[in-house]
Amino acid sequence: MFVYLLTDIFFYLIIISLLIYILYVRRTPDMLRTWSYVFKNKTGIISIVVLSFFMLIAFFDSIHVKKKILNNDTNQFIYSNDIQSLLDIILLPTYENFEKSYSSPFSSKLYSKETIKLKDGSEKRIYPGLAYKGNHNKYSKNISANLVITAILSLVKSFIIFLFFYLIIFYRTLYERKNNIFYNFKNNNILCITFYILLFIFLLLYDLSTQYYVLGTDKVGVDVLYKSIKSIRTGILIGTLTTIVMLPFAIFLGIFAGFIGGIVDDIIQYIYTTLNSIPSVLLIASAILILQVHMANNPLNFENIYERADLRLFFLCMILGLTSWTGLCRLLRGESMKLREVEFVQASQTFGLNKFSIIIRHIIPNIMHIVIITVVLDFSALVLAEAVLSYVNIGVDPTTYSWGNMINDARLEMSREPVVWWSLFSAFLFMFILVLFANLFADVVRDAFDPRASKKYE
Amino acid sequence: MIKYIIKRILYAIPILIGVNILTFTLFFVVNSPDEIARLHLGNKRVTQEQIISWNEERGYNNPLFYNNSEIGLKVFKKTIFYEKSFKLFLFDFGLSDSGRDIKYDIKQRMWPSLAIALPSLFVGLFINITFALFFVFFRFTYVDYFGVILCVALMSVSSLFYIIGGQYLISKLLHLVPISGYTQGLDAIKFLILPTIISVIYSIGSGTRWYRSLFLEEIEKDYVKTARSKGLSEVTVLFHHVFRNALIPILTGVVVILPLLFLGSLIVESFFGIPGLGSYTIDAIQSQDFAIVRAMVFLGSILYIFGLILTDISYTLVDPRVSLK
Amino acid sequence: MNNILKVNNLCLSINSNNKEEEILKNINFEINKSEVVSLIGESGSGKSLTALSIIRLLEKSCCIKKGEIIFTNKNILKIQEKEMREIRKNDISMIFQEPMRSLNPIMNIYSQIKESFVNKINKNLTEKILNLLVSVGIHDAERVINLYPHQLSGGMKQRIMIAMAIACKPKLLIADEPTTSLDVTIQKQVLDLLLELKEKLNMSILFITHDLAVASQISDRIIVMKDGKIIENSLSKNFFTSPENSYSKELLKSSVYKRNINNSINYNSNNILDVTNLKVYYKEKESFLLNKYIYTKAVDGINISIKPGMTHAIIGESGSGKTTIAKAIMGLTSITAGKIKILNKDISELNSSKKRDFRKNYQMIFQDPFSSLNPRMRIGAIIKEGLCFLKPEINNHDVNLILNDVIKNVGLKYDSLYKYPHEFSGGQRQRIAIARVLVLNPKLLICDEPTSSLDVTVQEQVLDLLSNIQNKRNISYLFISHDIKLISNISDTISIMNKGKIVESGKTSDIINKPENEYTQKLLNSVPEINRIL
Repeated sequence: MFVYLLTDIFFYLIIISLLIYILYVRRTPDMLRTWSYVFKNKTGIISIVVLSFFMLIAFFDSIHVKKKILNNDTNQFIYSNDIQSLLDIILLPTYENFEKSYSSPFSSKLYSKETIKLKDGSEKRIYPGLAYKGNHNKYSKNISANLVITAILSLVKSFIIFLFFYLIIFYRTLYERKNNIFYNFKNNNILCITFYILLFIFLLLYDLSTQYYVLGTDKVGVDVLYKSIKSIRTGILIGTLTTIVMLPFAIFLGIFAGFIGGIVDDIIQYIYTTLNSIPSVLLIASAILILQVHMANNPLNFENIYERADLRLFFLCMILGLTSWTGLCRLLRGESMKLREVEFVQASQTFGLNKFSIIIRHIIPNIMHIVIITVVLDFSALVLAEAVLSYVNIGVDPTTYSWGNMINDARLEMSREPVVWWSLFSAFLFMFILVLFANLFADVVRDAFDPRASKKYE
Repeated sequence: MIKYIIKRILYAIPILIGVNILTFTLFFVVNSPDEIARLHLGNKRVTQEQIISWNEERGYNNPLFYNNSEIGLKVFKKTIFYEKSFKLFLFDFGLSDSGRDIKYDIKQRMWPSLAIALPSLFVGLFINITFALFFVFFRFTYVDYFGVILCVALMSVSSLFYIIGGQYLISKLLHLVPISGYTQGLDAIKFLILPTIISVIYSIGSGTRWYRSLFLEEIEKDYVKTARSKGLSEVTVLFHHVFRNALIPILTGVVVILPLLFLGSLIVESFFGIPGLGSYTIDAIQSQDFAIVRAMVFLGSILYIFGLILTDISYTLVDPRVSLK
Repeated sequence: MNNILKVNNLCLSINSNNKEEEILKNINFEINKSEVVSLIGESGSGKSLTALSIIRLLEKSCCIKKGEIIFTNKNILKIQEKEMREIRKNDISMIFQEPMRSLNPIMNIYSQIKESFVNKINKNLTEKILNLLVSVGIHDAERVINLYPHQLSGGMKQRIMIAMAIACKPKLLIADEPTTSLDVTIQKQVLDLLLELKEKLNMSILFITHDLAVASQISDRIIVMKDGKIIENSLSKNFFTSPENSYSKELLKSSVYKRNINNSINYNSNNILDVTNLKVYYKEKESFLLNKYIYTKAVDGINISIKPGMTHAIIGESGSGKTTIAKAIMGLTSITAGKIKILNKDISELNSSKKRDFRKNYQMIFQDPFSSLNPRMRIGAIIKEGLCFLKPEINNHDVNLILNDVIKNVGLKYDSLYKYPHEFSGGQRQRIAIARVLVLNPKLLICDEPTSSLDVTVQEQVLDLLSNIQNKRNISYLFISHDIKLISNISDTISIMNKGKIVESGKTSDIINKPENEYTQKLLNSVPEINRIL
C-alpha cells in the first residue's frame, strides 16, 4: 500500500513543477537559448547529470509503501507499521541486518575488543568477527582479488546498461535531431561519460555492499553508506522545499513593493527590514523552539514516528522559508523599480494596460532570471545550513537520517581512542559532492542568466 | 551629520518595536507560559501548583497586556508585555529562566566573543583580499581558473567539518594547541589561535570569490582604461584605481557586521568551549531558556541597526560621491 | 618620412564562445605630422578597435592576426609592454567617449592629472597642473583641482580628460568620439579647444566619430570605415566635394536629410494638440519632520499647439525638460498645472475608462529601441498588445490581417512576427515600435528622439518611413530632439526649450534663418555644418 507523507507530496509537486518548467523552456526559444548555454557548458552538463542522479535517489526515497505481512494470530494479511521507501527496497541488502557496533570500512571484524567465551570455557579478549558481512567474499578468497573482480564485473555490467540507454536516448539525439541546440556532439560525450561513471559507481557500491560495509558501521551497527544515501533526501528536500515556500512571498511582495510603490512599498520594506534585523540563526532558533514546545504540548495523532519526524522536517522547511524570503524580496523590489522606468513598460502604460496586466506580462518574465539564480544559489547554502541546525538541536528530528545528525554523532566518535572517522568522512563526502556540484551548477546558471556576470567568469 | 544620525535613530525605533512585537508573539502568544512551564518541568504528571509556582518565580504569572487586578498605571505595568518585552527598550534584560542576571552575563561574555571574532574578521579580510588581488592580477589564466575552482570547493565544505577536522589535526594529532577551553588574560591566546585559524579558512572560499568579482567589476570600468592610457603600470592601476574603488563596498560590508561581532559565532564558540555570547546563545537554545533567547534577539537587532547606521556614515567617509542627506 | 603613424595590413579577430570573428580586415592608413585624421563609420565598423590597437589597450578576447603599426619607426605590436607604457606616457594619448565614466570617481582632479606627470620633475607640479587646466579653458583651476568628478559638468570633465591627455605633450592624440555625449554648445567648445591645442602643441590627432559634420569641422583627412574595411581615404576638401565611394556618398546624403514635404496641412483646421501653461514640478521632501518641499521645475509653463498633419518639433539640450513634456502628455508623469487638450478634449477631465478608450488617438515612440521592446515577447505579441487592450472589439482574424498589413507597411518580413526582439537591429526594432503604435491609427504621434540612437543611414530610412506614414494618414507628429540640423529639415513648426521653458517658437524656417532669442542664436551657431571647406 502506498503511503503519502507530507513531504512526499511536496516533493512530487516540486518534481512536477520542474517538469512543467522544462516543458515551458522547450517551447520558449529565448529561454531555450539561455539554458542551452548551461547544457553546452562542460561544468554545466556534468553538474546536471550528477544533480539529477541525486534527485533520482531522493525521488525513489520519496515513494513510501507499507508492507503486507501475515498476522500469525489471525491468519490475515495486515499492513505493517513500518514504512519503507522504494529506495529501501532497492537497498535492502545494505541494511537488512545490523551488526553489534562499530566496524571500520571493509573490515571483517568489529572495531573494539570483546570478551568472548571460547568453546573450552576460557575467556579471551578478541575482535569478534562481523555476523553478516565482511567474511563472505563472493568471487575470490583473497580480499584484494575479490575487490578487483567485483570492480571489473561492475564495469562490464554498467557498460551493458549504459549501452542500452545510449542506444535508446542518445542515438536519437545524435542522428535524428542534429539541429537540437541542447546537444552537440562534444557535450554528448561528456554527458555520456558522466552518466557512465555514475552508473559504474552505483553498481560497484551496490555489489560491494552485499559483501562488505563499504563505509563501515555506526554505533548500533547500521551500515554508514546506507545512512548517507538515505540522508540525500533530507538534504535535497531542505534545499528545494524551503525555496518553494519562500518564493511566493518574495516574488509577490517584491514586485508589489517595487512596482506599486508608495505606502505599499513602505509597509513591505518595514516588514523585511524588521525580519532582517534579527540575526537569522536566532530567528530560526526561536521559531523552531516555539514549534517544539507546541508539538510537545499538543501531541497530534501520529500514526508512527515516521510521520512525526516527517512533520518536523516539513515545519523546518516552512520556518527556513518564512525567514529567508527577505533577501530575494529586496532584490526583486529593486529590479521591479528599475523595470517600472524601462521604456517597454512605459509603452504598455500608454496603451492603458492596468498594473496587474503589466506585472503579469512584463515584470514577471523579466525578473524570473533573478529568481532562478537565487533558487540555485540558495540550494547549497540550505544543505549546509541543515547540518549546522541539526548540530544545535534545532534541525531535523534525531531519528531522521541526515548528514547533520551524522556529523553531530561523529563529534563524540572523534574523541574516542582509536578514532571512529568513517561516519564523519561519509557525511562529509556526500555533502561535499552534492554541494560542490550544486555550487558549480549555480555558477553556470548565473553566467547564463546574468550576461553582465558571465563576462567575469568567461 | 548629527541631524542625520538622530533621524536614523528615530527611523530605527519602529523597527525595534516590530522586532519586539514579533518576539512577544512568538514566545507568549503562540504558546502560553503554562505550556512552557510544563515543558521545563517535564511533560508528565506535572501538577498545576508546580506550574504556577514556576511561573511565579519567573514573573510569567501576570496577564499578557492588561492587568485587571491592579489600579492606575500598574494596570499596564504589571503585565508580561511590560515586564518582559517593553523593558528590553530600557536595556533591562531581567533574569534568565534559570535565575541568572542576563545583563551581567552578557557583559561578561561579550569580550571572549570579540577576542575571536575581531581577529578572525581582520585576518580573514587581509588574506581574502590578497588572494583576490592575486587572482585578478592573473585574471583569465589557469591560475585564476583553478583558484576559482578551489574557492568553490572550499565553499562546499560544511563549517562543522572544518572545525572537527581542524581540532583533530592540529590539537589531537599535532598537539600544537589545546583542543578547547579558555582562560583570562594573555594566556587566552593559545586557546584563540585555533578557532581564529579555522574561521579564517572557512571564510576563504566565499570571501575570495566575492572580492575577486568586485575587483573584476571595477577593472572593466572605463576609468581603468584611462589610467592605462596614461602609461601606468598594471600594478599601479590595480592598487591605485581598482583596489581603492573596490574597497568601498568591501569596507561598508565589513562595517555593517562590526557591531554583530559582539554576538560571536555560535558554532565555533560552542565547539571550542569559549565562554562567549555565541555559546551562551547555543546553551540557551539547547536548554530552552527563552528569556535569554529573547534578550539575544533584541540585542542582535539593535546591533544590526547600529551597524546599518555605521555603514551609512562610513560611506560618506570613503566615497566622495555620497553625502548625508 | 613625414608620417608619425603607419598602419599596415592590420587584421583583428574577436574570440567569443570559441568562435573567431574577423572584425578588422587589412586596415592601411597613415597619419602625418600635425595632421587631423578623422575615422568615420557607423557602429560596429571597427573604428574604436582600430584606435585601441594603436594604443594597445584591447580586451583580452581581441587578437591581432597580422599587420604592423609603425609609430615613429617602431612597430608597436612587437615591443614589450614596458616599452609600450613609455610610449603611452610620452607619445600617444587617448580621450574616451564618456567623460562621466572615464574619470576615477573617488580621486580628485589633482591626483588624477598628477598621474599623467609620473616620472617627470615634480618641481612646481601644482603650478604645472594649474597652467595645464588654464590651457584647456578652465579658468578657476585652483578650485577645480580639489573637486571630484561628480561635481563637474560633462563638458568640464571632457576638458579634464583632454588636459590629462596633453599633459605629456604627445605626438599623437587619439580622440574616440569625444563629443558624442555632449550637448551641441559644449561640443563646439571642445572641438575648438582641440584645434587650438593641436596648433599649439604641433600634434597629430586621430579623431573617431560617426558624425560627418563634426568631422568636417576639424579634420584634414577623412577615412571612412565600413564592416571592418577602409573604403575611402581622401583629403577633407576632396571628400566633401566629391566622395569617391558610393557608401560615402550615401553617408553624406543622409547627414543632410530632406523629407518629402507634406503639402496638405490646413492651417485653419482645429488643433489636434493644445497644451496650455503646462507645469511639471518634482517635489522632494526637504526634512522628514517639517512639511517643506523642494521643487525641481522640469517643465515650467509651456504652450504648444499642433494642427492635423503637421510636425512640431521641440528642441533642447539634455535636461531642458523636453522628454518630460512627452511623458506628461502620455500620462506617464503627473502634471502640476496646466491643460492638455487632444482633439479638443481635456484629457485630465476624462474618467479612467474613457481615457483608456481615448488613448488610441495619441501614442508615443520611445528613444531607445533596445529597451522599448520587451525582450521576452514575440514581435507579434508586442504589436498586438495595444490593439488587444485598446480595441478589444476586433476579432482574432482581423487582428491577424492588421498585423500582416502593418508589418508590410513598416518594411519588415511577415515571419518577423514570430521572432524575438534580439534578432533585429536597432533600425528594425524602431520599425517594430512604429508598427506597434500604427495599428491603433493614432491622430497624434509623439516621437521622443526616435532616431538618436541609430546610425545615419538607418536614421534616414526611419525618417522616410515616418514621413511616408504622415503623408498617407495625415498624422501629426510631436518630434522631440536635440539635433537641430535634423529637425530643421523635417518639421513645420518648432519650439526651442531651455531649462523647462520655451524660449522661442514659430515656423521652422523663420527660426532657423532669423533667430531672435539669444539662446537660440548660440545653439544655432554651435551646430556643426559641413561647410568649412565648401
